Amino acid sequence: MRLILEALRDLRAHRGRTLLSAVSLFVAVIAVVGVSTVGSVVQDVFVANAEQQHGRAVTVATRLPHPVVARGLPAVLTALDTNITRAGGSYLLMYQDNAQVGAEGGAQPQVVTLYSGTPGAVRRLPVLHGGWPAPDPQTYPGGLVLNQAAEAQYGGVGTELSVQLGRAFPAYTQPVVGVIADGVDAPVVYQSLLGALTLQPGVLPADWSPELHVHADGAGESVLRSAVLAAAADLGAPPTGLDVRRADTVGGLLASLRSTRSGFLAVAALTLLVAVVGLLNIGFATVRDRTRELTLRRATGATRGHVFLLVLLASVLVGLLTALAAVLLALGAVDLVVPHLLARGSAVRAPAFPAEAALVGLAAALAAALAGGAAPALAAARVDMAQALRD
Amino acid sequence: MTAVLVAEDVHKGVQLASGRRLDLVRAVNLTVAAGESVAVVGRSGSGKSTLLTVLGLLSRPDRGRITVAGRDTATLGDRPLSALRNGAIGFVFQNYSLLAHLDAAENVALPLNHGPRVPGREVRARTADALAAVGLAERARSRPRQLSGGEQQRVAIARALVRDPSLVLADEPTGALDTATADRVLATLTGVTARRGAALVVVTHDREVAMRMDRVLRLEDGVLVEERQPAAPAVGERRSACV
Ligand SMILES: Nc1ncnc2c1ncn2[C@@H]1O[C@H](COP(=O)(O)OP(=O)(O)O)[C@@H](O)[C@H]1O
Ligand SMILES: [Mg+2]
Repeated sequence: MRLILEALRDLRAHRGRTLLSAVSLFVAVIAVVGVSTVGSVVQDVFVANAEQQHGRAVTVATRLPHPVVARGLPAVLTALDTNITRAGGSYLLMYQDNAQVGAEGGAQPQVVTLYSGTPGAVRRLPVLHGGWPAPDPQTYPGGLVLNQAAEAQYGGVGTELSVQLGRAFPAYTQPVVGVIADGVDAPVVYQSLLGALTLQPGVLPADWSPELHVHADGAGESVLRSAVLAAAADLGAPPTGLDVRRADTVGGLLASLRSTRSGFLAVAALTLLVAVVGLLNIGFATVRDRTRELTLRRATGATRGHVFLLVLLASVLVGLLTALAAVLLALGAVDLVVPHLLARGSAVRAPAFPAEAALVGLAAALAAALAGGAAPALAAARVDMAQALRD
Repeated sequence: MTAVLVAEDVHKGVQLASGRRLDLVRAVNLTVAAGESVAVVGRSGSGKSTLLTVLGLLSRPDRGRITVAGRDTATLGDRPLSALRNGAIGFVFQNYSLLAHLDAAENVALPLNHGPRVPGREVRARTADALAAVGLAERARSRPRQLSGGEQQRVAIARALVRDPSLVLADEPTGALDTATADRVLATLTGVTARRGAALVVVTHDREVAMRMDRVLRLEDGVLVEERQPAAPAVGERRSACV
């Protein structure tokens, strides 16, 4: 404690030098915190978009051929629930139908995505208004969910839309119950498969062949693939009949981001190295300037260890104070700037307090301060006391 | 009579820039008792300061044994040596005295920052005592550059005495002062050390200074030669003293 006060007094006595060594370290810490924060934000943005469009990491997909679904939707859903939902996973079964959608009398061609399962669990789909209808049979038909383009075209939550699935069937009216962001520019209308079937039994063509997406938090590709194959087997499919592929693009994305990021980190490390060299330079100059004082301290009873710690501590204090300032500034910038860069409906959440980046910055500053302070401190501890009687 | 400082067969040489070795101190034997004052005289360049760095534990002898306050220092590490410099020895240097960014009181308190912990209240009391003892009680808050050369050296004397050492070592303490000021500073130095019962070793090339001490020793060819009474200077000696 006494040592810290003493070191602080030394820093105050050499304000100019202190400020100089602080500046280079400040820049370096900002670079480190900035790079790691921006890196994680950029990564978040890319990953979020990828997960919005193709499924969360890891998602597998396959097209269920007609023979597999020929036993009827209830049998299919039972097989999926048994093999996927009960195992902790989520699925999204989708069938796209060409329909006529619009306000009464003003209908136009529109693809309607009939789905079963939990879309938001498989893909990252921010809900903007309302929500997905509850997957409870009591609430069917449940209503329609639009993406942003469809909302712009047909109207938001509460709008009643007429939907005609196929020329052969009469139109029915359904309210819009939710608006979501799915990353698609064209209008997309979502309706629950079971909901559509309660309104229009027999709407599925005899040879329908839906797309199946499966995701489970923490589960790898092979686990998911076996779950899909097990469900298909329950439906009587031969084990080799399905082409189950990885659907999400997060893996490849992260790999390419990692190399970009390590490039930036290398630059940040370089600025840190420059800061260390600066600290060394200033540290040695300070010790040279203070030789007289340090010699006198040694002669009047300061131990070598005391002098070493005194000089090192000064460097570490500069490092910590600087790092603290730099981290606060960098975080403040991230907090104020990043939210403005995110579009409404973006699947990206503004980053929470980037504790990791802050810690990395502090650790980097501490390491730099120790690296840049140790050699001068050693030199300080070795001052020749006999010099006190010369010159 | 207790010996405060004992040097036995002490050798110390320095490496010159040319690579040649200069054996400045060869077989020095010296015993200084508590309360005693000793002058070490000699030509300029004869090795007086070098001897003093060894006696003051600022550098290690090449050979021989130095005992300070009853402790044989030959085998001591940095910590106990620092403790001895801190508690048992007080230094007064010719030029190397005060730190410019500290005021008189802070300069005097310097040895109290090291070694055994001294509470703040006691630091202030001891500092005030030491400054009063050298007649500078009123100048505690003055910076060195606001003090005259004589006053600065008296502050240095106060600093040397603030830990109540048993041994005070001074290297040309009046070398940078005019005669009248030198007299006053020397009177302070001898008076304060005598009052506190400390032994005093003064290195000087000035016969006037040497004559005020109980004993006078001359460093010649690396050996201390006892001059029982500070006799009138020989002609050659006088000349070198004036250089
Ligand atoms: N560290 C050193 N390196 C080289 N020469 C030195 C060193 N210390 C002292 N000397 C030389 O040794 C001689 C004696 O020095 P010193 O002990 O200061 O003598 P004095 O104090 O009697 O004048 C001088 O010539 C000085 O230049
Ligand atoms: Mg000298």
